[in-house]
Amino acid sequence: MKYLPLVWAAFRRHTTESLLTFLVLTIAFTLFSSMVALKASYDQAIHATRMDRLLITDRFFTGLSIARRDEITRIPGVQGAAALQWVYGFHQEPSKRVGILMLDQASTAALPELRLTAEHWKQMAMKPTGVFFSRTQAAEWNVKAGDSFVVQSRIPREDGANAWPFEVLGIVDDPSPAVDWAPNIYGNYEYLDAVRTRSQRGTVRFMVAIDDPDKAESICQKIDTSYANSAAPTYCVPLQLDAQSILDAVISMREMSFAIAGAGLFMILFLCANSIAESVRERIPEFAVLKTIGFGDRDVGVLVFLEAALPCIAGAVLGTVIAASLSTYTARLSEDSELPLPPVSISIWIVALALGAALLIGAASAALPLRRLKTINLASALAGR
Amino acid sequence: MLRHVFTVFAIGLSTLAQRRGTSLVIVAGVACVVAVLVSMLSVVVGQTRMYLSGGGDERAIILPKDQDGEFGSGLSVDAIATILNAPGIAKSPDGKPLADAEWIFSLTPPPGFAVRDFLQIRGIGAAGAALRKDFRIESGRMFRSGAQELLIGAGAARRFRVKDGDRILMPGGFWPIVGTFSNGGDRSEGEFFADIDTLRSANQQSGFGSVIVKLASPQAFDEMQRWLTANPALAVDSYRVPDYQLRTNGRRLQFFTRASYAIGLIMALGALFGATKIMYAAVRARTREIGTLRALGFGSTPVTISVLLEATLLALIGAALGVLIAWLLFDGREVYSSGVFRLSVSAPLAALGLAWGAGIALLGGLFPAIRAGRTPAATALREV
Repeated sequence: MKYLPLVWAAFRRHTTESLLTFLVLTIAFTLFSSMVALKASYDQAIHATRMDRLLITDRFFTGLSIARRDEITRIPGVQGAAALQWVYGFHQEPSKRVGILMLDQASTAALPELRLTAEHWKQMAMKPTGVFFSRTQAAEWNVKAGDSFVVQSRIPREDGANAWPFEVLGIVDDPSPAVDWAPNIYGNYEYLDAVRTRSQRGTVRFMVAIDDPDKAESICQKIDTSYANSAAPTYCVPLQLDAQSILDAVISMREMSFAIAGAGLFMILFLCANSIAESVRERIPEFAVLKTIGFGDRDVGVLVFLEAALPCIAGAVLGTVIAASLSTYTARLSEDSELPLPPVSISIWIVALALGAALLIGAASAALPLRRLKTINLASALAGR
Repeated sequence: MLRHVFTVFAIGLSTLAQRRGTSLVIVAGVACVVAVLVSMLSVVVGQTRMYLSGGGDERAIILPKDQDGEFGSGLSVDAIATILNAPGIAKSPDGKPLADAEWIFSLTPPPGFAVRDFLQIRGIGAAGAALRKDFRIESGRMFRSGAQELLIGAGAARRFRVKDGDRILMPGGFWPIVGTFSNGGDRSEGEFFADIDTLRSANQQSGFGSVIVKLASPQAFDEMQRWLTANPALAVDSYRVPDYQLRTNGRRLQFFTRASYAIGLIMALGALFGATKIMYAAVRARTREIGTLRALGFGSTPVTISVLLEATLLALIGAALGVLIAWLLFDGREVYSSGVFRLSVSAPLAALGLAWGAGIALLGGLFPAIRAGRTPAATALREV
């Protein structure tokens, strides 16, 4: 605490220049925290996807027979297999894209994260065109029980129409843990199968639940191998690896974010080191006085370190606060991602990282001037030589 | 006047060595900004080059109406026959239109592949190779018509680490890769080619995804487009190939360009304030020198300009360093993002980097330069 007035006095020595330095530090840390947060958001998106859920599609887009469900369920390690299809298209206008996950009751049993109950299924059996919206989806589409919901889809219907009329039966809880591989609007597979073209009937994809995420790849391999010579070979992928490969397939801000954060820090390292070196050089006689009146090397060391580190820490704190308030804009930098990303947010971990970086830069900047101060000749320094 | 500017500038430069540390701050700061900006934009430049290469301006593509890309099979055999009658399509010596109806099939990552990404398999017909003027077989041979064989693009071969002789699980069994092709660095080098009829029958497809035609002349496009649009039997869209490439991929490119400039601007702002700080310190350190010059009769304008020149010189050194870093790290590096292409630190991009650096220096040095110019000789000399 006793050093603070001295640090403040040093700051006020050239106020404009000190303020400019502080401004640069703040900008650099705004960039640093934003970029680290952006990277974290990408990583979180991958991490949130599950390794214990395997998506099985047909390797050549021929469609997999729903009859394979029983075979897949019997594979050791498999807890259950859900047979699914998607009705993709748009609602009202082409820009409002929507998908409906079509499944049956047995499939719900395999995926306990979906909050569909026997009661819901009873309603869907009574009304084949009925769909349930998750809370989030209901809010997004602004629907309530009893509303009709028409999807324009290219999925071929036997009657040749493009419109798929659905009716909202009700709202169900959001899936837990969250499901991002499917739109959380659920419809009855039986209905889809009854109206689509005859050649497509009975073809599905599977979402398989397994008991051990570590066995995901070996189970996938087993499934693919066993169907390799069938008329419709499979392509099995754990959801997490699928998400990873989607992100890997294109250059995105994800690869660049750390490099940019690093470049930002590198930029301020020189500025900080130079500022503190110059400040110490100008005040050699002052430090000589301090030493003369009894300040030890350690005291002077703390003083110089604080002088270097405090603006960095203040810049890191302010920069991170600004980064937090700009996070909606930062999130836009990830708009090229084909994966739904969680919002960019500044976690405690990022604050700690920024503070750690600030301390490191402070220490690195103070190191050289301190070496110089240790070796000053008190007599000539006091004489101003 | 000009002589005065140079004299003051030269005196400033002679003392630069004493201000090594401070000068280095500007050089390093600007280098960081420019290196980041130029590196990010090298993606955009490289990708755009991929879309526009391969002699695309002589070609046009015809797609089913309102379809985003070549995937799908919305063009029937009848529609293709009608399209080939359109005017403006170049003819081969035997009088046949130079056009190729093609179909693309996106193959799930084959088992055992090191890279888990979909393969784009393009079925091309008899005219497919002739239409692509830079098309060359680099090794092996062309696939035989009617045989289940694959030709691999040079970029795809490097990316998926497969070569001639390897076999890939396709509909109907394993298809061997019989050759590798290059195509002037255009997007198709990231694809596989196969015989269109063999590929369609193996996939039980009856339609086509697109028709690629060679234009009789670049101006012939408008005539062809008018004819196609006016024909009531057809529901198609037509584009020049480069326009089509930029249309389907432009959004990502625009996004990346915007993101690069946004980050470049934020960093530039940091470097700008840093430069202002450094130049203020430099002017302060040179108060005596500047006072003396003023007392000797040098005007305030030469002093102001010389300070700006100094800042610009330092920033340009930094910018050149930044361009060099970006060039060393990224130029020519092959990446995969909607195709296979090489990052490119082109001359215009390097110029942009230098201009960016100079801009930072001019804006950042302005206030310190004005202060230097206003330094009254008497006050400055009093510091002696």
